[in-house]
Amino acid sequence: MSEQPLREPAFLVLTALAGGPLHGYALVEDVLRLSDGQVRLHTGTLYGVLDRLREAGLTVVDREEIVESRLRRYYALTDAGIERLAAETERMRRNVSAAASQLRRLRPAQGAI
Amino acid sequence: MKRRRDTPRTDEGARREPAAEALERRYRRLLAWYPAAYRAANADDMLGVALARSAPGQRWPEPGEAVNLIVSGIGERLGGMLRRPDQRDTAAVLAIAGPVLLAAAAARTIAGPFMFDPAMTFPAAPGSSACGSTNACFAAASLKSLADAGRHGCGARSTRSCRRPQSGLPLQTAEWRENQRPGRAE
Repeated sequence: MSEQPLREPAFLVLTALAGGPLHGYALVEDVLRLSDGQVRLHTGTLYGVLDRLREAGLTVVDREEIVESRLRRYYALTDAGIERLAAETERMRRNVSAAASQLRRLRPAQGAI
Repeated sequence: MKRRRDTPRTDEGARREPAAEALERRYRRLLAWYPAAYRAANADDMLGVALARSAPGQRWPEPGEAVNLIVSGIGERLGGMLRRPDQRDTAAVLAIAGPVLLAAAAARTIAGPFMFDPAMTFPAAPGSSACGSTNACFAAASLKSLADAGRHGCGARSTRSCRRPQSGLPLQTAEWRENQRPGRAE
């Protein structure tokens, strides 16, 4: 997993967790906010992502609370998760600047993006 | 309409059921697509997220969320089988044959009365002299059995034969159709 680029839901979940431990629904809301309203994770997708991130050692269960007689699990980034998010952000930054400079060459009149 | 045995109730009772309870019960049924061990560890947490995602007064899971849970649940079952060497082959066969069978059933539904009769198209059954080679014979037999599966599966012309499977997996389609019928107030 460590060599492959993170897919968008996984990237956004790591990004949300960079702000501190969150429970499932708070993650959905944070991802929605961070993606400018573009990504509203389905429950099945969210838990698939959380399972894979946990198996890869990028996240852990921070704590569990009982709210309204229902279990609420909080997830947190590990050090490996922080490193991975930083590496992925750097990789995407390189791609974005490469794309931006190519586009500037393609249509210089319209200026930078 | 069949109900799971943990929630016996009449249709009359179902109508008076509070929206929050109805929605939770339906989400629990969708979570049954996940393996039992996975459910034991995650169902409560997932249910909390699914319910929090829904609107106040909502009685039915939104279709996208329902499909996502079913697909993720099946994926988790297949994934679990792939991790177990003794079940890996079964999982591989299911992963390939499952969608083909579904497509065959769907094709049969869509084509309806205009569908070809597989018995006419593939008269060469295994063992008959028309089989040119073993491979051709096998392929013909496979196609025929797939077409038959489509013909006799859900979506066959006679709806009487379309029964919900009695396995632990709930199929909500019948309930869904009921819900989608115009004029039904929820």
